[in-house]
Amino acid sequence: MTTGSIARLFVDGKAPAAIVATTGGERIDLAQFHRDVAANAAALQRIGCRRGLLACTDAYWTAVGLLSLFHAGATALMPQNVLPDSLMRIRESWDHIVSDQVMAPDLPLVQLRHHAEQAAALPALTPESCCLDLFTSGTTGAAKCVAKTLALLENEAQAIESLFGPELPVSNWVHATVSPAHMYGLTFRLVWPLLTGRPFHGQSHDFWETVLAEDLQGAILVTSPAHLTRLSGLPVQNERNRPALILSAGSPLPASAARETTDILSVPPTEIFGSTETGAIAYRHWRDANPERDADPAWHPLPGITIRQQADGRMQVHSPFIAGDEIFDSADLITLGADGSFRNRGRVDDVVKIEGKRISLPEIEAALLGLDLVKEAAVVIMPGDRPRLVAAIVLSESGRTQLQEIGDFRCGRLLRHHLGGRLDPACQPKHWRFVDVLPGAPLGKRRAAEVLALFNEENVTITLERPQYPELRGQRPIENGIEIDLFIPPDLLQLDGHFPDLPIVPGVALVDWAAQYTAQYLHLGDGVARSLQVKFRRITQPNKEVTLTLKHLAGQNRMNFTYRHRDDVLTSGNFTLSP
Amino acid sequence: MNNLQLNDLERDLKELVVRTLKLEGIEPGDIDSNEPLFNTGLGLDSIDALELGVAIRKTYGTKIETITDEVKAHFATIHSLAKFIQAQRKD
Repeated sequence: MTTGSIARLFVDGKAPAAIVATTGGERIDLAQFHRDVAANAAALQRIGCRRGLLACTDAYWTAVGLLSLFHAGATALMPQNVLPDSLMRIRESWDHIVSDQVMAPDLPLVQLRHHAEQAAALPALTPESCCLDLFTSGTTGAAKCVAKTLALLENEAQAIESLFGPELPVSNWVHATVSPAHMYGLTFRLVWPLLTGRPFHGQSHDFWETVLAEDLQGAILVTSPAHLTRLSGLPVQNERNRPALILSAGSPLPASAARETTDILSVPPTEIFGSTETGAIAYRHWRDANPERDADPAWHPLPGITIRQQADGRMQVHSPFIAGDEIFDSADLITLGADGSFRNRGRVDDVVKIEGKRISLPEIEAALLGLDLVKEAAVVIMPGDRPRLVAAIVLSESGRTQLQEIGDFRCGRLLRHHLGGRLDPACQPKHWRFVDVLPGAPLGKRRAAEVLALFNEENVTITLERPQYPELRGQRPIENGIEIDLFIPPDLLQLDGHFPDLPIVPGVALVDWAAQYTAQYLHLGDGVARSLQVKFRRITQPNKEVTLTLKHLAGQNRMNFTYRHRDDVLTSGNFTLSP
Repeated sequence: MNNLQLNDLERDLKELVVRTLKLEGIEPGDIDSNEPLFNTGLGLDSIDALELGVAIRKTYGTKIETITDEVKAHFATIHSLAKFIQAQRKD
């Protein structure tokens, strides 16, 4: 199909009865959308809005707000979230809030609403001069602003259409479980559908039960690992609930979740790799994954994008969808294939994600220190299959009084509640320890390890000796061998002396552990790996749980070993047992 | 109506909530059956809601095939969840 243009949406004489979206249970046609944009744009112009902060929860109203601001000649701003404190922290950046919600009465608000009167004609926009500033979490804790134009958004959506469009009829509805106010949701819920004439639902779904109550046949489902890793227990869906395309972004989908999605919804998911700065960069189809192999599918750049691998392994993105020089130096580490596809090997910086949301630990600590109840705070990430934020807190006088009255759990929840004015739920610590003194020195990796030790119930005494072995988390016998779950501690002795910015468990340690555990658990060999064959496929990093599989090849007097993180093979090999 | 069964179910659900969501420093008995599970009250978030959905499906085999607002109402408190699961069992 030929893509249209958002800039010319109201001038190209499209069918006024064509359905654009739903909001509040109603279907909105193009004529109504036109009336809403024209009247709200006129209202924004009347009050002299130059920089409008978009704070809508509904995708339809986000679209109305965005286009009204563009037609009023104003810049649109999108905050990290619409919590009151977050809006006030960037107060100097905006003059009016543009929202579908009622906000605090002392804020200059333009409340978006339906208009019934005859719409004024809307001229074509100049896409290059329609500006959108997106705020995202920077590494320092301060909000970072990324400038986009409608031209960039349209180009990106056109590339997406050339990729996915040929397989998708334009009558297909777009459903979503992600916010329309972040880059991924904005692009896939709103810009792409508007550009191509696909209708979209304004409301986002929290529960699977409400997603599946919709007619999903042939639909595009814009979702994320938060939902796709929590499909368990749902029955296999019938044809009525089979989407045409399931999209996921935010963080890589584990292979197990991709399999479960395929089993229950009968559609292998498609993942989008991207960031606020770059927009969408690449995609991968799980239907291309080879079930015989352990590896997840490789990423392929979107049409028009070139990926380069820098000398230190970091990714460089050359993309026409990035403002300015069209080059973005990413903190993601990749391995680039000969065909231009690539695989991700983690990040070099401290940006971490919880449930696909960028987390800034300094920002969370600063927010905690801003509370009356808190005197000192240290926030760290507890690793595992589902990483969680945990906090060690020294309470103030008033905080101690509260703790005595309501107990540990409700005190933690009270702090979460207070953080709710400023931080997304994903950025609020889940587990709390109330202590007299924070352990370790500030800002060190040492502190992170010692704060984590507070949450390790079996190990309440904090050991200051550096471990040389991973922590044992579980073990299972298998045919001719054993599976051992290991946690790589962040202060492992062997991490020293390698790349300073990228802690990696050296291969020699992995081989050594395999041989030692073979002797210890299977009583085979003497703990030394002889005539070793080994393949290092991915780096093994601390703060991760890995599973070591040891299998005895009895006829050959050899041991096979494989280290995995979730479904990814990290290192595998074999060695001869003692002569 | 069998209040005894409802009480048992509420107690089981409180245990399920504490165990599934790994809530620390709180006993199942500390949860009030009528306090809101989300936002205020117990202060659970949207991720907790998804996890709880998985646990309830797996434990009770419930099927929720209804419209958005009703699902949210079922998940409002321990009491409303218990009533919902009980109603499903009778079908």
